[in-house]
Parts: sequence; structure tokens; C-alpha cells
Amino acid sequence: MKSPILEAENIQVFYGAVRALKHVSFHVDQGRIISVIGANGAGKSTLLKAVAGVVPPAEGHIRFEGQSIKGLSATAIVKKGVSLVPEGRQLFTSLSVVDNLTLGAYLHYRRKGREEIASHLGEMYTLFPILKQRAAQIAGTLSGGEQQMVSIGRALMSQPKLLMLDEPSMGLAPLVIAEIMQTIVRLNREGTSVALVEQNARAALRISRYAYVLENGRVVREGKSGELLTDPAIIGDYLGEA
Amino acid sequence: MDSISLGSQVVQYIFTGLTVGAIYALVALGFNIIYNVTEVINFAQGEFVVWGGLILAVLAESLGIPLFFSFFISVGLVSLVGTVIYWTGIRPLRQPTILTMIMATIAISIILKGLAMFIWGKDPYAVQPFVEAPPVTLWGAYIQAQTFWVLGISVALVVALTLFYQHTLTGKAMRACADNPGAAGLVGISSGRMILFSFALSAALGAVGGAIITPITLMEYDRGAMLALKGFGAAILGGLGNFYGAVAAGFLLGLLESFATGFISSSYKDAIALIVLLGVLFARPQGLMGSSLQGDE
Ligand SMILES: Nc1ncnc2c1ncn2[C@@H]1O[C@H](COP(=O)(O)OP(=O)(O)O)[C@@H](O)[C@H]1O
Ligand SMILES: [Mg+2]
Repeated sequence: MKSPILEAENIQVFYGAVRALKHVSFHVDQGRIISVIGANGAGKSTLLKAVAGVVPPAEGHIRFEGQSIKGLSATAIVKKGVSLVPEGRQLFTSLSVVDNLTLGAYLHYRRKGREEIASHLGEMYTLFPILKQRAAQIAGTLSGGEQQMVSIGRALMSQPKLLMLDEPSMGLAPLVIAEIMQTIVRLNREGTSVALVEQNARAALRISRYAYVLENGRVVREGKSGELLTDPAIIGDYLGEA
Repeated sequence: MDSISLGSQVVQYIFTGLTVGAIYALVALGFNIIYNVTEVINFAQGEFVVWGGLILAVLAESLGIPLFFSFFISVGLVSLVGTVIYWTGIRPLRQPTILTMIMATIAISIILKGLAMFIWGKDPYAVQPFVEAPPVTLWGAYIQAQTFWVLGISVALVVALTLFYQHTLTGKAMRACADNPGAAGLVGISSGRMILFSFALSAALGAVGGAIITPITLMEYDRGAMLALKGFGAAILGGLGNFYGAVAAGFLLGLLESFATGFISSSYKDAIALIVLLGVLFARPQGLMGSSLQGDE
């Protein structure tokens, strides 16, 4: 049995009067990949933002490594080891690739030496060799896939124990999606726990061990990803297009 | 007109224009530093120049502290004033909108002006030139030695500022915050702290402007509003947010003023900035040089 690195219980999030998450519970086991699938507007991004401290949950508990992180600032949560790759990449589009990456380690500069950060940067270039060639390029001028790599790399520069990704496949060609998914698997093998949110349910279910299905702010199904992949109801609602 | 040739007059106007223009450029840069991180126009920007000059006058002239130290103490104190503005005027706002923040800066500029009058009174203050030297004669024009300090220090500041934004972690973090505040928060860059830095930095720039120009023009408590207006005109002319645009536009505005004063009448001097400001806003709101330091949003 693996112990959960992240546990969220009964989370509720409101945007004004709109209840975007209704008593949502989920957890990520240590060293595993979970995915959250659901249609546009289901509340997937809100879920990750609540964990990352970007939107405050009105109710519920969120624990990371056994400690409550509910109500902490986004900065405090990054410091604890939770990093979000936001929907739509959200790069610093006017800064270079290498500046985007190094700013990912912003919180580490006071505690770690520059050499250590340079060595993390080297690891990013090993993970995404194309970024080394593009290091000096302005991030906003990269292709969609390269931008996604920078966004993932920037999140990794903070050395997270839990990496959360919000629709990393959005807008990318199938080959690029496959490459990104392989990278996520590789990171996971190297020890990072992963929470993956996707509308591309098939790709997400293939690489995750456990999955949650979100509809209108509620978890309507959860189970082993392999089982969901072959479940006729899920195939009908979420996997039909492929 | 009689004994001085047109050529030496032109040289004289050019140097006068560049000197004043350097101060406008520093004020315009101050506007941009804050604008890029907050989209706020800080109308207290001109007061920093006034305070920089007046504090320097007290330290160097009244207290007799060596000019070199007085200069840095004055700049340090004014940048402290900048952070106090942030803490007292900007941060406490509930539900700050750009408009309420801009109104807060107007209120603050009025308070700073009142305070300056209370502390220093209405008389102008003088500061000795940085180095005692005779004027330089260039093509028949007399150029005060302090003019070269003004130009040299301004250019050095622009270079230093560029290096700061391009090569230091804090400079990059400030650009990141201006570029995408949400994403900056996700990597742990506190936008509050970056805004605080930007207030301190733009106050320091203004103070340097005041300190270097006071030996030439003297300084008095009520110059802030006009300086802010001129600097704002330059910032708009250079394209709000565009650093090099602000510098070029500051010098251009200074030159226009100087030539208008020389060839038309000094009574039109202050109107020039307004005419330029209105002209740009009507004809080319994005400024002569387009967009920002960051490129198009
Ligand atoms: N900032 C916001 N203000 C108001 N409503 C929002 C905001 N963000 C999201 N919502 C609403 O919350 C619901 C969930 O949104 P979101 O979490 O973005 O869904 P998903 O990521 O699954 O597409 C949607 O109905 C959306 O319209
Ligand atoms: Mg979403």
C-alpha cells in the first residue's frame, strides 16, 4: 500500500454565487499518477487551482504529506513541493526560455547555490533537448509543444514532489501529445507524483493508475484507469471521439 | 542676438534641452517602472525629484555633509519615501482598481507637496555643483560643468537599469510579474514585493534626477506637478512602458522646450509638453515607438 502524498476532502469552491466544486474528494498516492477527466467547465482547473492556493476553497481539507495546506498562499504551497503547470502554459512570453526556466527556481535562489540551480537547468535540457537549442529565444515565439515543455520545465525547476498539470495536451498535435505524455511517465518513474487534468481522456487514462471523472463540479466516477478505459459508459461519454 | 552667433545659440539650446530632457527621461522611466508591474500611473513621480533635490540641499548645504554621501543618503531616503507610499497609499486599498490606485497617487503627490512646503518653505534651495569647474566653451556656447554630470549620470543610470532588468534575478522577476502576474505567483514571485521594489526604484530614479539638476536649476517645493506632467508626456510620447522610448522622448521634449524658449518665448515652454501629450494621445496613442519593454502583450 502506498500512502497518499495529497489528500483533498470535501472541497467546495465558489466563484461569487457559482459553486464550481461541490464536495469533491480525491487523493494522489505517493509516486503515482492520477488523472482527472471531464468536459469543459466541469471544474478540473478549479480543482488544481484550489490545491495550488490560487483560489481559496470555502470548505474541506487539503493535506500534503499529512500537513494541511488549505489557506496557504500559492508561494507557500510551491515551497512545500507542489507545483502547477497551468492551463494554457502561461509562460513569461516576453522573457527568454532560459529566464523562464530559472525563474521556476525563484524560491530556491536564497537557499541553494547558483551551481545547484544550473545543474537543475542541465536536467531540464536533458529532459527537453530542444529547449537547450532554444535557450536564448523569447518564449512567446516558440511552437505550442515547445511552450508546453518550457511550462513543465519551469514547474520542475522548483523541484516539486507533486507535479500538477492542467491540460498539457491542449492544442498540440498527436505526436507532440505522445511526447509530453512520455515525459510525464518518465518524471513519475524518477519519483515525482503527478496529478494530471485532461479533456483528452484517452491519453490521460493510458498513463495514470487511478482516475476521477468530474461533471458539473462533482466527482461522478472514480476507479482504476484501466477499468475506466474499457467501461462502456466512459467510452460513450469521454472516449467516443477517438 | 547681437554678439552671439546663431550657431552658438543653437549649441546652447541643445545642451539646455538635453539637461532638462535628462530629468524628464528619468521621470518618464519612473512612470514606466511602476506602470509595467501595476498598470498604474504614479502621479507622485515628480515629487520624488523635488524631494531628492531638497533633501540633498539640506544634507550638503545646511548640514555640510560631503556631497558624495549626501547624494546617496538623499536617494536612499527618497526611495524609502517610495516604499512608504506603497505601504500607506497603495497596499491598504481595499479592492484596488487601477483607477483607485491612480487617484491614491494623486492624493499622495498633494500630501508630499504640502509636506515639502511645511518642511522647506516656499523658497528655492541651491546646491553647489558636484565639482567646481569653469564652464566649457563649445562653439561659442558656455556649458556649465554640471551639465556633463547630469548627462553622464543619466546615461549611466539607463545602462544600469537595463543591466538590472536583463541580468539580475530580481530584475527578471519584475519583468515576469509585469508579463504574467498569475504565472509569477505560481513560481513564488510575490507581486506585492515586486510592486514595492518598483516604487522604491522609481523613487530612487526621481531622486537622482532632483539631485543632479538642483545645482543648475535650484529646487523648490512646488515643482513636482509640472515635472510629473513633463515626464508623463515623455512616457506617453515614448510609448507607455517602453524604456528606450521614454529616454528618447524625454530628451526630445527637453530639446523642443529649449528651442521654443529660445526662438519663440519662454512663456510657451510649459505648453510644449501639453501640446505634445495631447498630440500623441490624439494621433498615436501607442506612442512614437510602439509598445513596451516586454513587446506587445
Ligand atoms: N474566475 C472565474 N469566475 C467565475 N466563474 C468561473 C471562474 N473560473 C471558472 N469559473 C466557472 O467555474 C466552472 C468550472 O471551471 P473550470 O474549473 O475552469 O473548468 P474546467 O477546467 O473543467 O474546464 C465553470 O462553470 C466556469 O465557468
Ligand atoms: Mg480547465
